[in-house]
Amino acid sequence: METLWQLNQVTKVYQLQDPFGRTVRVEALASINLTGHRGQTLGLVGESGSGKSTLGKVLLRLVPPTSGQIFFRGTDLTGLSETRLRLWRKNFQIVFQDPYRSLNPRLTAGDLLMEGIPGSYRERVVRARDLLLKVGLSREDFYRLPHQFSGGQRQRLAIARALGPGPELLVCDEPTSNLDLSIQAQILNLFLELKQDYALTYLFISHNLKVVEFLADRIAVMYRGHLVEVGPTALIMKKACHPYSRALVASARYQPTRMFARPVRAGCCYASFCPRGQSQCYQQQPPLQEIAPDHQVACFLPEGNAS
Amino acid sequence: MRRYIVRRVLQFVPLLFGMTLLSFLIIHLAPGDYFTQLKMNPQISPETIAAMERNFGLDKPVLVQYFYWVKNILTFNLGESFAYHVPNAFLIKERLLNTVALSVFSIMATWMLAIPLGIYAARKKGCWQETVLSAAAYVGISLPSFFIAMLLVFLAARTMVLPIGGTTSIFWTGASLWEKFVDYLRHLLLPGMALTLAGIGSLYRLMKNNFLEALGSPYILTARAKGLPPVLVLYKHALRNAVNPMITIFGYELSGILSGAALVEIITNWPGMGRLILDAVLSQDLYLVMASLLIGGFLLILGNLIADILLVMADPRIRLR
Amino acid sequence: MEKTLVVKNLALAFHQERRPVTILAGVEFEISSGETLALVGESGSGKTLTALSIVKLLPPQARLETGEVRLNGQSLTSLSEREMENIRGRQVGLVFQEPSAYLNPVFTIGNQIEEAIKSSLSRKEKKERVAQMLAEVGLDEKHYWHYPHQLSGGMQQRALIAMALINHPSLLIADEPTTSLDVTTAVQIISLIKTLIKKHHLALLFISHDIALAHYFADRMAVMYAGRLVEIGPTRTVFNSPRHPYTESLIACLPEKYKPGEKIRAIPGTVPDFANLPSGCPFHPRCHRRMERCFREEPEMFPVASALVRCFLYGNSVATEPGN
Repeated sequence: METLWQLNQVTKVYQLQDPFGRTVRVEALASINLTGHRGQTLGLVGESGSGKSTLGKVLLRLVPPTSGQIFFRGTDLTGLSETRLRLWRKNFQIVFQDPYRSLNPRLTAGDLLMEGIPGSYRERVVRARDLLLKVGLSREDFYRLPHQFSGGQRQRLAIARALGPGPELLVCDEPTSNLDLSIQAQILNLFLELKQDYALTYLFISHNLKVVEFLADRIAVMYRGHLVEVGPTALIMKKACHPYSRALVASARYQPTRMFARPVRAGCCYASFCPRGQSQCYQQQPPLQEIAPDHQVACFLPEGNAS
Repeated sequence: MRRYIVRRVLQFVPLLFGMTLLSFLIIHLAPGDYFTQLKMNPQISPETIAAMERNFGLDKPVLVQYFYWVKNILTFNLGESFAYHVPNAFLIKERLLNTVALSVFSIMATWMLAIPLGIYAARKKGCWQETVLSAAAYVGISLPSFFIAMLLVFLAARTMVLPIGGTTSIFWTGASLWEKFVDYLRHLLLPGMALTLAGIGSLYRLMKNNFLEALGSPYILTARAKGLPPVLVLYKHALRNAVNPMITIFGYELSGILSGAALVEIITNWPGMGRLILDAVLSQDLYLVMASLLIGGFLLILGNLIADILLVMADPRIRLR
Repeated sequence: MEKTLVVKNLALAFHQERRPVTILAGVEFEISSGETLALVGESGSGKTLTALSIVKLLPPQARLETGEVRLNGQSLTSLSEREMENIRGRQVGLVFQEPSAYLNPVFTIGNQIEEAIKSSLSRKEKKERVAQMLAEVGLDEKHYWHYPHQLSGGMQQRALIAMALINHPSLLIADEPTTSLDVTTAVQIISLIKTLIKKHHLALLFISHDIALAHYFADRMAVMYAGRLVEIGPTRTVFNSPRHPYTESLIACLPEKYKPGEKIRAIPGTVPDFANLPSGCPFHPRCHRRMERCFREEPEMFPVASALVRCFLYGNSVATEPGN
């Protein structure tokens, strides 16, 4: 399998200021190693605040990493200047959860699409029209403003805009989380179609494991800034090894997992809630290790197929 | 909490120095000083003026003068006024009291009227009462304070109901303490009303909007779903949240006492700090200006600090460390 | 035996600007003690307004046109606002979607739970009652003194549940109680609610957009579309053999029903706007089994097996089951 993008030891630390000017250090990404294969969909799941959204933004260099390297098609993007980066940006685009906030409300659908399309005016108009039809909108929608679309249509427009520059990689950050079930189904179908037609590679970020299961070839599970497990979708859904992945899968089937809550300061990111903690777990964060081909877990005591 | 206050006060010390140094330099940059006019007077000999300049330390370089001034401040010596030939502390003390009395009166009146009116209007949203109140508030906001003051002076002069100017009547000496108090209050009423009328509109609008916002909040639905009586829903759950953002404004109002009242003081001839500062600046009475600035800066610190402390007490989400 | 909650022929309209806009029409259901009814539908289907009309906490422009709500045999329809205050909290508890917004940020958890107590108790007794309730929802006694922002989303929702149940009401209305929570927390809250309704023999009206969750959770299920109930019946019947084309299509939209690479059988179009509802059956523009009369007439509820279905496929002249 060909590697399209890779994160190497990527860390992101936010220095936030509270109302009284004190600095608070928040580690959104803790030494992330992750690889995306060309033509595949990688699903990234985790609860809110786990850093999954930050990972997407760092990958596209929308947010600079604190340390580590970002590779795209083998090129290190980390040190590139904003000007050099602009040449790369057409290769990777993003679709956000809330299309209403990510689309300039004063531009018509046509203008929004044409912004991202290279070429002569004529070429851009033609391609923008094609894209509108491709994502299931109509020709008349070309002159509409974002607020004249329904939520689902707006997300289609946001997808069309992301496709404008002809990207290879599309990062989808909770693209269906604000949508109703019937509209979500339409959008998920659209993602499937587009992947085939444009040979896209997705990084699909969602808190909804069922949606990720539907779309993804591989799943990466995040917890509080750490990647805790990465593996093929079927494997994660059936035989996850990390206790948190297991809790997620169980929850998706409405099975409550027993949650422990002990105050743990150091050690594994999941130690406070883990039912299997041992002394080692309270001392250091386990590294993400390959326990089987294409299956990595960050746990000292992986469940299931270990031992 | 105490550590926070100490830190905040300490943070303001360099600010105060910077502010006074800057003002000191700017006053010196302006052409001429207090003695420029005296020099043109043929009746005063150049020797006298030179002696006076030496007396006030004006023959030294600017920075040296500034450090002399700072040294004096640290011993609570505010210097002496060029124009009045009395210690500035003496001048300021009386004027400051008047200004503080005026501001406290008007702030209290503004708040005690604006808050209930704002709540009332919010509850009567869409009724004629709200329309009338909001229209009146709009008029109040659009009229500048000095204009309202002039209007009141005019009315007072025509009706002779209230005294204009000064703080005391002729019969002051010989009046009992109570009579003195009432007399002072009667003199205070005119400038006080002018400031109140000028400030009430915006505060009313703010309170109305805050209250409406609070009423539309989900936790109000929770309170109603619990079956709480309207009194509790309105005056416990909504009011507390509506008042919180106002508290910061209260602190800033405290810090704005000096400048806020100045125009009204001048027009209604209220002998407060505003008048004093204006005269001092016009006649380049250096140390009087500096002393006033110092007090203004101090009030700013105090106001901000009080605002922060009140906010912390009112809003549990904010904690000091 | 009288049901805990009976809602009959509920109709609600918004009165604003020119003409009234009908939101709810002919909503009817019952819940008995210890039973969970899930009200399922997409956003803008009128689920929340249905819940709020039961306790008469409607927005000012909303007006109940027809219908009756009976709680424990007592009709709520004619009650005054004063009398409703007595019903709310005491006989009906409500829990909402976003716990952080539905708790007042400036009062402690304990204060907010305690003020909901309706019976006249001494201060000490009230405190004990609150402590007992906190324990019941899985919170600690120390949380009495905490402010909402000091608790996690799941704990906030537990506090709201404690608040809703402090007077031991007979009916609990939970409006999307887990939607804003993380999945692992959501499942814990669901199992807590399950335990509590069993323990207190509560009738539960559970409102959700998540038909899969409703299937897992509820005894009976009512599916709502454009302010109408389109199907109501035992959960298993409705979920496993849905009769109404909308129910059927909605279940078919669940991504977990498909193998990798398969396309979802999505419903075309979007949920209609209440101000411009389609003529006849409001679902007909998106329906894959529409008939000619669906354009003109609105169907009533027809009984099919143990369910009621609002579709002409099941009544009024067409007698045969479709697909047979």
